[in-house]
Amino acid sequence: MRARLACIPWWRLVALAAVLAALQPTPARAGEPASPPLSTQEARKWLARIHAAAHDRNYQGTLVFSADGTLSSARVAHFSEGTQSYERIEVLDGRMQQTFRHNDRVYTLWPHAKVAVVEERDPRQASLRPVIEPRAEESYELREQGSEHVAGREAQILLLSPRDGYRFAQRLWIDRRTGLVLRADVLGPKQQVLESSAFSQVEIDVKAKPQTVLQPMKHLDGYRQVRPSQQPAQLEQHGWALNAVVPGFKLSNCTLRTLDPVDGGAAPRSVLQAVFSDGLTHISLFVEPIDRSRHQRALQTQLGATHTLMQPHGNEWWVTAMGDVPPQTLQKFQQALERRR
Amino acid sequence: MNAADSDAQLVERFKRGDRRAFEMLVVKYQRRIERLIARMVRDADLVEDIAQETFIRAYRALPQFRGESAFYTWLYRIAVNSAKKALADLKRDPVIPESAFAQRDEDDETSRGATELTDGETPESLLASKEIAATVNAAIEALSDDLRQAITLREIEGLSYEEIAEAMNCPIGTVRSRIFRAREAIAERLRPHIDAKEGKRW
Amino acid sequence: MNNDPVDAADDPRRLLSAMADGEADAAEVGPGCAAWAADDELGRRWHAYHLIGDVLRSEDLAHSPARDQAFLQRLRLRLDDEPAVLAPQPLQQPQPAPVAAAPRPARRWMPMALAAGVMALATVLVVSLAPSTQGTAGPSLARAPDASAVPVATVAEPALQAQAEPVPPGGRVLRDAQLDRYLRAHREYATALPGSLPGGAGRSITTVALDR
Repeated sequence: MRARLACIPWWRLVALAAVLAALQPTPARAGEPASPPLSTQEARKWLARIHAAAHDRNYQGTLVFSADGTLSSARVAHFSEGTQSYERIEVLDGRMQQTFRHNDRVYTLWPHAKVAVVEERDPRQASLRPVIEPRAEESYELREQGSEHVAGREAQILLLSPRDGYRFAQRLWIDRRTGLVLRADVLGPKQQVLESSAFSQVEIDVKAKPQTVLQPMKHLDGYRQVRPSQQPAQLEQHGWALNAVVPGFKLSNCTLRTLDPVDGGAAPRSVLQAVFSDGLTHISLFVEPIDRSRHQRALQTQLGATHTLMQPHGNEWWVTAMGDVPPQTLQKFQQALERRR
Repeated sequence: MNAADSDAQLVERFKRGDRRAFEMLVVKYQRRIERLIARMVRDADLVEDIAQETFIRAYRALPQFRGESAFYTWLYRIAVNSAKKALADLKRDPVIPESAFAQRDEDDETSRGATELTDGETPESLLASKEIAATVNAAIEALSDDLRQAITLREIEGLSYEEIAEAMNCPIGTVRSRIFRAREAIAERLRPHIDAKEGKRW
Repeated sequence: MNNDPVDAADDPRRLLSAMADGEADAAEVGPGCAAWAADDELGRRWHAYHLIGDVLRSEDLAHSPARDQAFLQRLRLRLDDEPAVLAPQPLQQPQPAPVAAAPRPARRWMPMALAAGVMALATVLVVSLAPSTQGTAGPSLARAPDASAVPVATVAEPALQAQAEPVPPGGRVLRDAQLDRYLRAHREYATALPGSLPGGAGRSITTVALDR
């Protein structure tokens, strides 16, 4: 343990500890009188601003993520030049994983194992970082909750409270000047923080540096390149449908794909992945044929804010529902899924 | 522990994810809740609807229930609110006749006294309930003194086992046993009045 | 049937009688609810006990059981439509006896088995497979490392390092790396949640099933 600690630069430990201190839930807020929710118009204005900033603004910084008592951090960057969009995420906690995106091409590199996963993603889904849509207002009430400093910048705090029990609340810290999300906390039913991610340091409106993204994507000598199979699909065409709707959630994507292209030896298997979004959070339904060696009992797990519910569907299918939502939402999706042929 | 806490175990169990505990509480209080609502609303179907609504609302809110009051007190308030809300909704509907609304004070928990038929209650069902009442009374009379005293102290006086043990000067285990045996004796007498049909009803 | 009911100590009806008064042993409440749900005779008894109490207090509460049964059946249908409320089960404390079969997850934070894209961060999730109210394999859940208030300054280890690996008694370790893969695929669709950061994704997850 001591040897391991020595491998991490002392200044990073200090920075992490400082961020962790900042990430503690602020008790004062819990006692504040609740301000009235914003009107639909005002809420949509905020959300539109947030949405636009994520897309339009250049920034680079260090994001710290915390959940379940653990911390991890990554250096991130995003540049937008005309129609070209670039992103970079490098995980910093010793795992050495880097993800680069140029428009719809996404490369994920593991330098130590010399493996690169090369993907072409749906341009609509092509952001590596959170995307908030204005239609989230249908499912969440917005309230302004004062302001705070995050990473040295003044931020407006917005509370997004779910309009029903199918989703979690989130508290967002929005950079006043640009509308960028500087910090986001997912709150559980008792207002406890399930997950949090925050910039510990960020520069906004920097000059775009596309080469920092393009160069690593070009230099793949010695890397084993894996192209996972992924193609658009339709639930109906594969014999599935949802016989009920969970409010607010709309199908945003459906693909037939392999789960993990970099496999220790087993043949990659295909699953149907349907993604549903309510504008703030999303749920994935994975449908695949039952494999008796792996699929034994129904399981429900929770990691940070992410719940997973895996269970058989009839005798032939195995369905995994996953999302940062309360478990009953996943149950509702599982119940709504129907085999049509 | 006083009578107010007698539901605490089931409430706690429900909060830990066991829906059956909630259902057991429903069986316990459904009659009282329906009677409470029937004082405010005459239409028997509506009474049941509001009672259902009451339990649904309780089901949703129970995870946040902190025990600041007794469970039944909390449930009672939900029932009253549900009935008031239903009445308010109805009053906006000009088709509902005025006779659907009862005139009594909802806080009156005492017995209605002389039996009246409400809508939906047939003379047969009224007779059945009179018979049940008579059977229970007869069974109580037939109990031995210590069984009768134990169950009376529990159900009518609302004493805890500990308090009853003190009152009857016997160990708590004996109290538990006497109450159980009293209940069993009465339940046995009720059997002919209870559906003889087989199969899962509960 | 004679008039003197059997008073065997393990008669489940005794438990129901105590539960009606809130005087059962705390540890028996769960099994009591299960027994009530499973045995129709116990269902009748529970109803009868409360009918008796109600009638003792007020005769106009004498309902026929059929009427009350119908109420409960109707309510159950509506409860089925409600989002279920699942609360985490507390993690049982591990017994001193070692569970020999459970290999500890690799704790080295230097990347090792990266061929599978599996991150070196290890988390033990304890999953409890208790039957649901409907008797299907519905689960309840528990979390292995309790969210320790001690901040972990290193990022290589979860709160596990503060304690021995909490494999509960009777638990089997399922080496299930599959959860990571689903998570990775799920995380590709970034919406607003911070977990969509790779730092929040792709932990190596060991699932422990509690045999119930």
